[in-house]
Amino acid sequence: MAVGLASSLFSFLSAETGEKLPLSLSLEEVLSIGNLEDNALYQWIGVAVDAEGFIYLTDGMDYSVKKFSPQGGLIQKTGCRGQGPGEFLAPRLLGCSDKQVFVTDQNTLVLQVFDRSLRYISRIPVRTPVVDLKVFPDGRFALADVSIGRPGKIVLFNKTGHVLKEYSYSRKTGPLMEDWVSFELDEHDNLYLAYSFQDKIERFDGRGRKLWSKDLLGMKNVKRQKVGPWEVPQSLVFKDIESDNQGRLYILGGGYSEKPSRTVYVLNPNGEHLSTFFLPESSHCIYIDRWNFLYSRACEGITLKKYRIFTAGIEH
Amino acid sequence: MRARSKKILVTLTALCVVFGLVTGLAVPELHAGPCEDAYKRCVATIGYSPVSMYCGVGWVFCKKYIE
Repeated sequence: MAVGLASSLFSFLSAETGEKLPLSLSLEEVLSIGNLEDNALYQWIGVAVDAEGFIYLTDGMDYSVKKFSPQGGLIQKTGCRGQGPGEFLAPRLLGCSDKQVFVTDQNTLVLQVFDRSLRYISRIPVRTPVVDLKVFPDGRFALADVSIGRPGKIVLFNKTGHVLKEYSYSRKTGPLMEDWVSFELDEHDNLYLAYSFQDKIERFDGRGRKLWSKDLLGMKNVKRQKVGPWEVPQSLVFKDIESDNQGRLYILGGGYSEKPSRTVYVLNPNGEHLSTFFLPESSHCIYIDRWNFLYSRACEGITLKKYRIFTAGIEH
Repeated sequence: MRARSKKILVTLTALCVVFGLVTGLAVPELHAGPCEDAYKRCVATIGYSPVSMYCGVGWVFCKKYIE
């Protein structure tokens, strides 16, 4: 396992955007998992880190979930192609509670639950394929319940899959996929949305009331294209949203950002833009663990990078 | 050499696997618009119904990964 502990320091300047922002961020690479010479990862998709720093990844190429030590060594692997217990057709997202690992499959309407040694425990039925997932330490989990022809919802479940709360963030049905989102839900049940196909970031409180809504790019409309018989959005506006342990939001921009799939916008919980920085390589997602380490993709999915986030400046 | 082979294999298969189609539905085509090609095949195969959520979600994951 190649572990890149070299302290290559990348700097990310909001000055590049010409905008004076109150916070400056930089990243230092502290760990690299997977490379062209080993068989650790082929195409990782979902990432999560547990309370002890173990790293879990889904790998779409070998239909597996993999567990790595905090130092980056592969210590467990489970899964193969199939629809039985512990098997996958298209493993995607995952999340860790204190005791369990929850894994989504794009092509089956279940969440599979494993213990932290990746032994299969159970499956929980879901209504639609999952585009985003959040798992809390106590086992509660939330899903983006997006669909076609129905306004989108974020649904919060208890650890056995019973609905605790629904956030109906969209009141109308628009063009195909218009209200699909990535989301972040904090411990106080505040919901943050980054729209996949709209220039819109929103916050809702625990009662489902919208607190603010803002754009980051000044876009009015997302280009759509006809693919087969349907008009679909041409490119993603925002790919992912995460928060750190100080409540800051990190939003990964898509194809409309200055550096597509590398631009990360940082906002405070009130929606004020604090900083913008760039990942060294394009990524499909970002993940921030409880110690504020940031994880993203490199080498087209063969590599996972872990970074320490440095901040400087005064946050207003 | 081994590294190059792995990279080619990964690139070829990734386009298909990312979309999450049932094996056999999609053969990756290395030209502009792999997500478009896969989406067309998915809709043509599964049809446009609530089930075609699979195609929509496939579109999102593909775009996230490829772009």
